[in-house]
Amino acid sequence: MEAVCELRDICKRFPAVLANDHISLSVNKQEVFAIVGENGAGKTTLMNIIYGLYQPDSGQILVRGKEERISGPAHAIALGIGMVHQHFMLVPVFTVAENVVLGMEPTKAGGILDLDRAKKEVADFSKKYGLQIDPDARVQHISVGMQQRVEIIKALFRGAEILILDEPTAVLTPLETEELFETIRALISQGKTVIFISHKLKEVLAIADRIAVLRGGKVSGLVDAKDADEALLARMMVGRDVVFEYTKSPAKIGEIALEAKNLVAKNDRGLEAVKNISFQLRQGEIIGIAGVEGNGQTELVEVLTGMRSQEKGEIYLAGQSFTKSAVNALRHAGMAHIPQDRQRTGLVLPFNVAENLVLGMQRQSPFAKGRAQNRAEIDNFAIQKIQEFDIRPQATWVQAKSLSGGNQQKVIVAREIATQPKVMIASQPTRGLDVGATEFVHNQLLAERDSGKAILLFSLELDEIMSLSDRIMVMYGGEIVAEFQGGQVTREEIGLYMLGWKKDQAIPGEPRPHAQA
Amino acid sequence: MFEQIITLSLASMLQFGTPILIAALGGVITETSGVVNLALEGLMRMGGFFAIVGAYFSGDPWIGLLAGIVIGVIMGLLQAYICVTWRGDQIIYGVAINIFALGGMTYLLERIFNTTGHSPSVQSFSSGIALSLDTARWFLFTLLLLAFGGLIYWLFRRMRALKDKKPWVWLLVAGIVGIPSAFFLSSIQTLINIVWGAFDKQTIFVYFALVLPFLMHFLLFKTKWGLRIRSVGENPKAADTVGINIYLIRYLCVIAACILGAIAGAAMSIGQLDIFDNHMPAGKGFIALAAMIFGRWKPIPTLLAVLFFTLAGVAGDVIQMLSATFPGLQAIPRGWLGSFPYILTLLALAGFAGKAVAPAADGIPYEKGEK
Amino acid sequence: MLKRKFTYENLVDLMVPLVCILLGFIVGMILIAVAGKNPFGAYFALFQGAFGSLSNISEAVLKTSVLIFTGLSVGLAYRVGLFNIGAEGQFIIGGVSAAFIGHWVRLPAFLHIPLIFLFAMITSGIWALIAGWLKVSRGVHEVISTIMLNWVAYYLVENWLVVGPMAVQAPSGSTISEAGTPMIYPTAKLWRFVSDVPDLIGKIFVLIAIALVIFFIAYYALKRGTKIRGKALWFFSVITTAVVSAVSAVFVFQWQGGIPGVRMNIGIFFAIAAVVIIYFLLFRTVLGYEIRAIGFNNQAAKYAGINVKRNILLTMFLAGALSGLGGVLMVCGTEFRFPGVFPGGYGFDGIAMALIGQNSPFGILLASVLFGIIRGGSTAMQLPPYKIHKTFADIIQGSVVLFISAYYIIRYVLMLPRKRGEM
Repeated sequence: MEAVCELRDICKRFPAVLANDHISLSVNKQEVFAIVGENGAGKTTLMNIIYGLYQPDSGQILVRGKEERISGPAHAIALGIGMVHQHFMLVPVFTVAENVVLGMEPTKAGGILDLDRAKKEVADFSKKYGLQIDPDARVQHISVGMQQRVEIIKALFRGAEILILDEPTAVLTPLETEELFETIRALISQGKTVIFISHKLKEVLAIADRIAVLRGGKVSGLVDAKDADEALLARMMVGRDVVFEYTKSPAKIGEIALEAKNLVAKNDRGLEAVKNISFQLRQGEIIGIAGVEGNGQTELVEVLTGMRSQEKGEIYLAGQSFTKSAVNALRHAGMAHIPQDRQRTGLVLPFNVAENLVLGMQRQSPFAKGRAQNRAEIDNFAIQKIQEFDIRPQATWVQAKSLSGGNQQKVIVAREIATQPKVMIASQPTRGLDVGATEFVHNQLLAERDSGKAILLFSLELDEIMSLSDRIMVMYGGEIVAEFQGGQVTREEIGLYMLGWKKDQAIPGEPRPHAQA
Repeated sequence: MFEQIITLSLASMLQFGTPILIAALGGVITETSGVVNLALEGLMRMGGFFAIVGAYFSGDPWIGLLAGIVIGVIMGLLQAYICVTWRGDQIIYGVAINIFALGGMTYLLERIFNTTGHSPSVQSFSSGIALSLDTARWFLFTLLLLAFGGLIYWLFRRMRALKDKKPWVWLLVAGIVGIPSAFFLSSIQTLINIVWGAFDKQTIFVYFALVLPFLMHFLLFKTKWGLRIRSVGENPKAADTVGINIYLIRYLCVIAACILGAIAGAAMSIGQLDIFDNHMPAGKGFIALAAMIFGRWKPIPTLLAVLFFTLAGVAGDVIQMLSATFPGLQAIPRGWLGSFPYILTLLALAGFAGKAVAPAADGIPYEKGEK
Repeated sequence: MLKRKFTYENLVDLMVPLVCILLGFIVGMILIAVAGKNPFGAYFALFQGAFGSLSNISEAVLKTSVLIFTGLSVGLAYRVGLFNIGAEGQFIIGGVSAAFIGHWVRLPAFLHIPLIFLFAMITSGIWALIAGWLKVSRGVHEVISTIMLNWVAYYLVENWLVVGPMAVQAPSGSTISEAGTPMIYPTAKLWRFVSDVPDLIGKIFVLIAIALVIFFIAYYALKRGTKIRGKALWFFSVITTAVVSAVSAVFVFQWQGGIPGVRMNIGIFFAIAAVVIIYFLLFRTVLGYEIRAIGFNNQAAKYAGINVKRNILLTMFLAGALSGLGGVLMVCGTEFRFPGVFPGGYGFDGIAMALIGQNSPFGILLASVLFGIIRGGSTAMQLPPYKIHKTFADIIQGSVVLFISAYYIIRYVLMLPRKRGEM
């Protein structure tokens, strides 16, 4: 097996952190090489170095045995290295064909775009590798799985022999993931090499030939996939035996805290995103809503928190009915919200920690006396919370933008809990957080549940849903398609519902009535 | 008499609208690449002034135009350096240039020409290009032919049944429908007189302004560079990862826009007139911005938007002309007439701006390596 | 808990505007030198012109007081996330409103001036509100709408009202500089405390005003600086007030003559009061907190339950009112009418003040003081031997703002010493 790409002693330092610390790896031709690690372990940095977006501080990169200094994406592409980023690099208003050929456009005389040729070439590629795609569709209108295929064709179009896939399954349904794996196998059989970056251990074990584990910027392990299991990989990733389960005290369920009846809501594009959702959330329980991104969860959260008007349906909080867009009213009635994008909607980054801790409560006493603010009280409150939640750095005057993601999330969690809510809606509360911070947030949510609060948890991480929830619901296509008691359902079954499987349908993988070979 | 009014109005519109259109298109090209350009007003002022200076000292209006273009290049480099390379605040920069141009040109006016009102006359283009009636007729014919062709082309694209037909189909239809119609219409004396009256003695700036939207549309939507420029404005990261040089494209677009802004100013000072008046451009740069927004950052709709605003701009003159026949109109205070274009702009923005969508990355400086 | 530290970074943030000012001055020097004149001499003339005599200082003060209002107007709007380029138009509207109430309404002084203030604040506030409403309800970019409104104000006021319905009936043969609205009644004039000596009732009012101000200063100074509280605090404040007032009374009642030609008026005190009020508004009230939150991140503000639309509208109204007050100062303090040739440009200068002052009330105060001096002195620069046109101040100002837009370049350069230290 020849090494198609080799890294020797790669080091990369950023102002605050040593992202890559003497990393040496060797990838063979026609293999699926996986790189796993937690957030911040250095995976994406390493890939960006291979793709020329960053320059290593020291070390060598060898492509097909020859040492190269990869100066930028153009150079990487010329060397046959293609990258499909975690966050797609597509222009939403352009068509698929336009996106694929961008930068390498086929032209007629004088620089005039030859879109017909572009479309034909895209169609050719998609046929060659079995990737279903419509060259004329606008990227903003196609599904996430299809967008990923566009990205792959983009790379192949530029002659990629080595394909780097950065967290490709983060936004895919299990079915789409399976389709992606088939594509990868097809690519390998056509002589390509695939580097697969992920933190999803099950998937990596399913598709990879060899797996390298990064931890804290170093390679902490390199195994053949057939010799490894999840526990081994997790230990190499985290350095200790990771506890995937929490011991929950039995649920003490009380009154109905939040009730939704027949909610219908449209998204920003005017399409129905929430189609007739009803549920009852009781005190002392956590309901976890699982689902792939884009099935209406965001809109549902917005409706429940009052940020979006529903078309139809009612919301009852502690028995009271709430009409449209009543953010303030809902907050006053006891609803707290941990938003999914902490920097955009959860915090005012230029404000300091103290100011962020009272965001939403600024009009209440003791923080305000009539129109004037009581800064002393705000400060005292902040000091209290900083100590209680161990927010670092321990300072009330530090701007929120200087805090790490984990500490920013602590500020939000501290604040929302401090409002002493009856209902808490947590939307992907541990997104982008490391293991320590994630554990912290989970424990806080469990503590709130134990003290009688009602928690509605939206998450894309099935493990999180399964380990925290008393009841689990699955959202697909704007509806709740399944409901289970916690601990009485398997990951696989939830996964099936997440992609829209309904009872009495054939299970994917088994012969389907209309399937063609 | 009606004919006279229409002719004079058209002529006024062409004069009034040309600088606005050129500047607005300058705005379109920067914002398409993702850089906000609020300094159009200041650029027009500087371009107009330096054009006069160039023409004054050389006696040749072409040198004046060149001087204007040179200052456009310099300002473009400056803006690109501060706003693109250094990610300076684009809005503050625009405001700063406008302030600077306001005082700076007054100062230079006083230094060089010793006056604070307006510069002395220079050799300019204002005598324009004379047309004969015959030329006017052929001009009208060509315009009508293009108009019919464009209309039929547009119809073809709209109607699904005809969308995918080969090009020669619509060429044929355009020819069959267009040529006789254009020929017929262009024989009507009144129309010939109007076109002649409107276009006679208009400067090259006017023709430039009328052709520019189509050139720009072609560039942005039919060429590969246009695709790249648009990608930089919509999703610079996507463009970067396919190896497109964001900085180069933005530099070029900013410089192009500043050149256009300067030309727009020159269109006023050595085009329409032969002096630099210290009030120039009197808000036209901002009307250009409004037209650009109203035109949804696309060249051809911007042309239509400018058309709309110039109608308002010449309303005052039209009313004056009409007031000879309808004395009641004389009672309208001059102040109201003067404010009309601006009020109309406001109403237009209020009515339509809600639906306008700028290029997605407009105004956001690009940082390499940002997640 | 970490104590608040004043870091090098904080210092740099303070220094950037100062550096910009310095660079702007240097640009001015270069341009003067290029024009063949002596830059140092020219600047000396500038400062002479500003400080040379009491009347010179008073001219600078006049300009400063108006700049403070327009600067606060722009700065306040910026805090909520909007660019109030319309300060000029609001300034004009405020001015003509003052001229209107000043001449067409007769009231005793202690009612006339408050009414003028109130009326002007409302009209110019509404003028700004138009742009605010267009933004909030129709998404119209406020830079363009406010500029359009500026021009509308200019045409409607200076080309219609002031030359039409509100024009002064001037005898034939009068020059343009005498056109405009008629003079306002003396009861509407802002008191020129250096040149005009008030009558007995006026002197009593002055004493009361002095007493009130001393009381507030004493109260807050004692509260902040000492640990005295409660009844003792009141006691000491009152004692201080009484003593200072008594001493002042002696001087006030003996005051006979004023110094003629010094146009400085009490407008400056209103301006300083405005700075303090806006500071309190922004940093000590709930409304200010919400305004700043919206300006920094209006999504997060919405999620926190803040009524973004209402706050934006309110802030625009206040911003307009502030510029309008600037116009009031011009009409009731300096010109005593709305002249045909209205001193324009203060609105745009306000933008520069806000940018240079980094949108903070005290920063704006300092910037306004500086540029009031520059503008005040630039009249003197016009005289021989320098003969530099007074639009020179515009160039300096524009340069400074230009450097401000290059904020990050300057910041980067200033931060370099720290970076090298880290290596």
